Amino acid sequence: VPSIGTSPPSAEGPEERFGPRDVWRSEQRSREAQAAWLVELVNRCARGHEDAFEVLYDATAARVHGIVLRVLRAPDLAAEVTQEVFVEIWRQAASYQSSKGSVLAWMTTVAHRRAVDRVRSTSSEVARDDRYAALNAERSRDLVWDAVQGRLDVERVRKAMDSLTPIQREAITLAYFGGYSQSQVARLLSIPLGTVKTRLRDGLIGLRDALGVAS
Amino acid sequence: VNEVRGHRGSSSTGEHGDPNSASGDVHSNVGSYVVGALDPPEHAEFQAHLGSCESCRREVTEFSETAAELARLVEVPPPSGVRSAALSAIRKVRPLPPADPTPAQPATTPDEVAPLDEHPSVMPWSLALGVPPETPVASPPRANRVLAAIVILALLLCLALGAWVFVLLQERAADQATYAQQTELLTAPDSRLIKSTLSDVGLSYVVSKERNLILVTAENLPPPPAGRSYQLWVVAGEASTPAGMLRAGETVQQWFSAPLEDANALVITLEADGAVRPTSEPLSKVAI
Repeated sequence: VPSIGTSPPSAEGPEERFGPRDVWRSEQRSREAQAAWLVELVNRCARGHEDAFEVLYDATAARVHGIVLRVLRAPDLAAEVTQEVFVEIWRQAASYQSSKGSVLAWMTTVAHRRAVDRVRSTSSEVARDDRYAALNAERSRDLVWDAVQGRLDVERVRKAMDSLTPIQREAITLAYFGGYSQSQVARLLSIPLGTVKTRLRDGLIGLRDALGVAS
Repeated sequence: VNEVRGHRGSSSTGEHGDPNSASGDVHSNVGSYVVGALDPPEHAEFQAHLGSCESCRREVTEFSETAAELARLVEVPPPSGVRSAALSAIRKVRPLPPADPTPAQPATTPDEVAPLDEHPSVMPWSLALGVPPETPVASPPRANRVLAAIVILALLLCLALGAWVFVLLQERAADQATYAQQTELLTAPDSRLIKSTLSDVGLSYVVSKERNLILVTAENLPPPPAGRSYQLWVVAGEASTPAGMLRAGETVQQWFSAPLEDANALVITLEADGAVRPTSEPLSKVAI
């Protein structure tokens, strides 16, 4: 069983593409190198390498847990769901295809979906008040904003979010961060369902273009 | 690289922006699909649609990358107990074999709801949450031979993995992570117990700066006034960072995970839900 190497993943050949955990945060490493490194980790997970899973966990746990916690708003439940997501990632690692998108997009999708399923299930411990959410949509956005600071990537995303129209931003915030369905969003914002659909899609197009996301 | 696609001649596959197209209504759900805003029937309908709509597939891919970027805004490390629990859990789980490794269709995966005569590609992300797909219904003879070889390889791999998992299970049956978080905090070399009071009841913090963990315990903590909540803050110099809401109750035992490296105090205030900075006098304040 080959083990994880210890050199940084950027410059070396394919045999040495794993780095120590702290290297992940290094700003020098290009996004492409990070993405390729994550793909390699997932491929190794598919072959049953627990050490690769450990590194993958450390590299992605904050992203996964963050979105789960944001949607569920219940720390204990979020911790449980985050664990489930990682077990699911391990189990499904072989189904990941790099031709269909990045590892982070795949993992974030799985995590968000799980969290939303929990919110919508009747057994959810999370009591949610629609009127409250409507009143606080704008404020919860500020919370999202203020909870993060400094990092350039975050700044970039924040700017992209600011480039949207208020209603696009609110619709995306309520649906993606709030875990509300499109019909709930329509009620919360008192706009027709069709408008919610177009605002969500237009908002994503705006963000995609502002962030320069290529397919 | 030419992707094999089945719906070239079909006139029902309208493009975006054509509101008169028969399937225009399904198209318009693409944004809602990516942000998880579809109800289960709509979700299933859209997934079926994806199997035959190239432009929606492309948008889903791009929007999913976009959503993953959005998630950057809310990154929060999980409590450290999650790590050990997840590691311990995967030792008992075998990764599934690849779903559809047929070389003739490198970028596609069969979709159970697609038309019978075609195997359009579908986002693998739906598969991550559902049942692994079946192999194609009909394949050319040559592909069959390749498939047979792959199936045999997969079976051998299963056997090997099975044996491996069996050994691991025996080795690590005792390795339980039920109290991993508690153990982690209580055994942290710098773990400290700090006593305080809140609303006239005793309240204790167990804190490990090294592990970035805080356990707050209290008994018979009275509920906050209507519309307000107890909120925990991590104070570092001039800055206060929200660490989470503290629920009142008979037995309070709540975990918080927050960056504590530079922190010098923990504070609890009364706030309207989800305040960004403390707006009232501290009800409890301890130095850490």
